[in-house]
Amino acid sequence: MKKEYIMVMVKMVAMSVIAAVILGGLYIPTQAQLKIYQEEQRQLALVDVLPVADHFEAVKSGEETLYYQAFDASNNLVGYCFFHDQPGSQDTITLAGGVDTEYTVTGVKIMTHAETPGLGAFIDKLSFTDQFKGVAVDDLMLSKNGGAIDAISGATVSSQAVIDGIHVMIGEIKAN
Amino acid sequence: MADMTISGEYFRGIVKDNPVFSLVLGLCPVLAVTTSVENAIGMAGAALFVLLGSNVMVSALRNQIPPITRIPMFIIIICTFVTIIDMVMEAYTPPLYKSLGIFIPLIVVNCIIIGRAEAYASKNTVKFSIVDALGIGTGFLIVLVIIGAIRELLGTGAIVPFGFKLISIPITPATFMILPGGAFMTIGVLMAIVNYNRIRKARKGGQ
Repeated sequence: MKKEYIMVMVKMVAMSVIAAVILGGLYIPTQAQLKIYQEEQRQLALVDVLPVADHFEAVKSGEETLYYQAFDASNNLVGYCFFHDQPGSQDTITLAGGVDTEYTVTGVKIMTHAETPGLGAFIDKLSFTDQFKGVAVDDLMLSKNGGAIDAISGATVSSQAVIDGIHVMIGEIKAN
Repeated sequence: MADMTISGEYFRGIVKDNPVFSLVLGLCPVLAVTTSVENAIGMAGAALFVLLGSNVMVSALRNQIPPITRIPMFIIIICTFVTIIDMVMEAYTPPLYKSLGIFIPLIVVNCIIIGRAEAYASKNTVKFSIVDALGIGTGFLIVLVIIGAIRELLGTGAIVPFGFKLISIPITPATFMILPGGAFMTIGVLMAIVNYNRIRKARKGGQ
């Protein structure tokens, strides 16, 4: 192989390595900052999905937080909040949800998702998530199946995923 | 090019080689993110940072970069700076990052940046490349802010950058101006005004 081609390759590799080192070095502090921000967002979301609650207590299994017990100002249990990763139609949907002690939904909030823009992406709109408020666990299905939740047109899979996610968590809370 | 001066090169980037109105480059982010002055400043700031970084690196390495692989090498340099600004904005200004969305990563393929690397920085000294980046970046900022201001003012009735209310007018907000159609109309009208003046000036000079 000609010498100049080797030089070209060496330069390309060297440049890529330098770029990778710089970005790797920057990744750590920015990710730490991002974690702090996400934690703040989670605390805000807990209040959003269960507004009557005053403080929350994590229910843990080992290190992992399963869900949160919510108490009002006079320390009565008023419900449960949870975060859950549910497979959507494109990627994982991370949702926050709250239920009262009868397992009636008090609020749902979509934290992150990567659903189809213009279709499934509407799951994070209030017009969709507000439907969940006050829905009992038995009615928690799409309206075409006789439930109380209207699916977003063209995005049944995404809509169903949100419902499934809440059911999974209610099951988990009941089991614990 | 012995007649280059720093101020001349700087103002060339704003007026004669204005990235949007003269070079007609980078129109995609111009149309997409100018829904408010705040977004416009965020986008232009990110673009200026990447432009400055890539111009400096490309001109500093211009004798080292082999001509046959110059484009991939430019892309590596640009990608590095875009990823830096992407990670920093995501961590420290999450709301701005969210509203700019995909257009921050897309700076990688913004023709303003690779255009300046190829057309200017790879042929000029580091000093003039910095000036060029600042000039072009300022030109981009001015255009984005003007378009953002027009659209935000007509579309929402007020200009509120970074939570500070700058100006408000008592009109019924025309939501149309915030939507893509408003972007096309604003940029079309502005470009017509700019070109009208330019042609008039050229005619005067010719007589």
